[in-house]
Amino acid sequence: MKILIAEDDVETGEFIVQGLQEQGHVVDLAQDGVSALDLARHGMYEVIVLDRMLPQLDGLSLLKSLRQSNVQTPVMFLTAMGGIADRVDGLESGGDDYLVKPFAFSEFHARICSLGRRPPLGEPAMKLKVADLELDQISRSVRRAGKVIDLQPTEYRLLEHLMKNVDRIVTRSMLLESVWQFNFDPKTNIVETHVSRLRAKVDRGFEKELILTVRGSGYKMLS
Amino acid sequence: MRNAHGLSTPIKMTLLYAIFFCLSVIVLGGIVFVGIRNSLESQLKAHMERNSGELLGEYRQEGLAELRHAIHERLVENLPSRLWYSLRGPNGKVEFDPLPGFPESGWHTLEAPEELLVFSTQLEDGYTFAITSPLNEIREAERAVSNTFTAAVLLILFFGMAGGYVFTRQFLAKLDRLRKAADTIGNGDLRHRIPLNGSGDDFDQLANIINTMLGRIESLLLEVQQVSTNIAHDLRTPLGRIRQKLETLARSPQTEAPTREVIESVISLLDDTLATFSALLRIAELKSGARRSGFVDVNLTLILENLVTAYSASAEESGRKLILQVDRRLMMLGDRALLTQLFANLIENSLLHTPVGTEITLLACRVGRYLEVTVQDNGPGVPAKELSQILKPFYKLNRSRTDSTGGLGLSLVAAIAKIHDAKLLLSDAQPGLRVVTVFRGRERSREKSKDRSTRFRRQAIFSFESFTGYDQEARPGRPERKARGDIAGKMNSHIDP
Repeated sequence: MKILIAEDDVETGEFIVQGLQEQGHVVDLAQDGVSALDLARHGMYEVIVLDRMLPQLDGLSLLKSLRQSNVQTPVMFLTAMGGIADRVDGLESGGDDYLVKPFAFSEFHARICSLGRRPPLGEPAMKLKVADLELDQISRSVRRAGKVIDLQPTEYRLLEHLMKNVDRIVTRSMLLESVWQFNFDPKTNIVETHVSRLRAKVDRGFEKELILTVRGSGYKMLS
Repeated sequence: MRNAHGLSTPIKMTLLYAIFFCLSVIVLGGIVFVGIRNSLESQLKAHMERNSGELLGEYRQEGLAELRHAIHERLVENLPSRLWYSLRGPNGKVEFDPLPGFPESGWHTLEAPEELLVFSTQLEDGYTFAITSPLNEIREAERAVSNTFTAAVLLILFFGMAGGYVFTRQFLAKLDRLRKAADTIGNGDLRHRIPLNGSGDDFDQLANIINTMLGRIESLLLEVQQVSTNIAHDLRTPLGRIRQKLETLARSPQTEAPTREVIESVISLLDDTLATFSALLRIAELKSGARRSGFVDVNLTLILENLVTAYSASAEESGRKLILQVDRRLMMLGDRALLTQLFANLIENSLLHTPVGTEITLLACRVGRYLEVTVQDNGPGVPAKELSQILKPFYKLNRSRTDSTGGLGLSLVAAIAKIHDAKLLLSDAQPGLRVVTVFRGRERSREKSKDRSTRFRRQAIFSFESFTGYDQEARPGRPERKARGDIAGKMNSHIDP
């Protein structure tokens, strides 16, 4: 993936660039808002990562100008501004994801990957298919190898999210945000419990296990 | 203002004042009374002695006949002096002006039938001469004095009571203003100040002093809070950098697997610290009240249903049970994410600090204009004296326990409740901990009719339950209706504008 990072802190910038390059991405680093906007307009990036407090042009204004010049590239805010209102502001101004510093690189990477390969807007898939597992988003029914699998609403949402991100790591906090709308880190293992229940219904009795646990990161649906 | 004896303080103070006033007027009246009487009496006595002396002088010079003559003259000439003269013979025979049995000599009073003052003198040849004056003038003067003072006492009683009541009321109103302000401040609102009445009186001066003191306390507390917030904020950046370095090290191909494990455990320790700092910053942010502008209409029912759906699986897995009883469409003004976190923290608190087999019950219902959410468990509970402590940051019930939650969960609950103007009541669920959160509800006219139907249904269920001899205690975790009423009553005094 081609990724633009707008980050004025040299150390953090290098940490991100190095990590992403190790994962095989092409990365450009801008250290102020104006050059970041210039790069973002013409660079054909798949994902843009913005700090909110950039010299010359702050992240929110940068994003506004970008959207005005009709650049629809997914944008993730990576910022130390972790207040309740800050997050809302970031997402309301058109950001697609919001990650607060300090962060774990695995979390950051999983979110970048999820953003970069979003299906194009306007044509939502009606059916998701991973291996022999099928999910019908209209009838909200799930089948594996032709056999109907009865899921609870939470389990359905969990599976839907995993299937949309097939072959990509989905972290615990990504699931908490998208499935439960929790913006905090619960002290109990609610994600683990629901995933293991889902796994019991989707994978048990079948030859190939589709839901994989990635140690220290999250979960991954294998195609 | 009412005390244990039933009389309100202004009435008591007024009565006390009035009694003191009246007593002093009565004493004054007594002094005046005695003074006037003594003075009138001594005047009268002097007058009688002078008359008696003159007559006796004539008697000694000229004899009895001249005495009679002189008395006669006086009676004719000098009527207004109103003195009577009597003369009694040696054998008790009354010579003139009969006077019933007056004694031999000296001062006496007689009732014949009006009150008389008699001054009698023994003459040489067995005669007794008496000069007499009626006392009615003195008595009238006495009556006039005592009537005047009685009227004065009554007037003083009336005006004293009325005035006293008004003044005491004013005084106590000022005192009450101080008391109420102190109460508000004592309940944690350090920004509150005692209002001044602008007169610059003693109370204003006192209020000024207290306000200055409060300002100092507030700024000191803010400084302390600011310091801890600053520490949390400023340490986040270097800790974040340390985390980055450790992660780079862990990722590096040169790092051996055992070293990587150590690094990862250090990172997770660092993450715990960072989480504590985040929670501290979140609490500080909430305490500043910044979020209130973003409040929207939220459906508390949905929030609670989502939470129970989210947590019931892990509760079951851990051998606990999560029960939800909730009214439909409990609407309020608030922040959905924060309210979710509030009840998530309460549920997690119950899940993490109770033994296997515990039932955790969530009850949510409308009580008048308020929404009452009860989260309670039947676990070991919290000792009564520690109930008020557990909302404090870093407070841990069992100090010996190493606890990764850091002791900020319930502080965050309190901060979120406060920003929603909600009342948080902790009590003993016997057994277990009961946390009741009372929010101000939000009703729209259309929903009102719906709610009414729900309420009727609830009442119907309750009456049916009582009809069949339903034992409320048989269903665990349901707070008694009475307790609910109490809470609603408390609410009125705390939240009503």
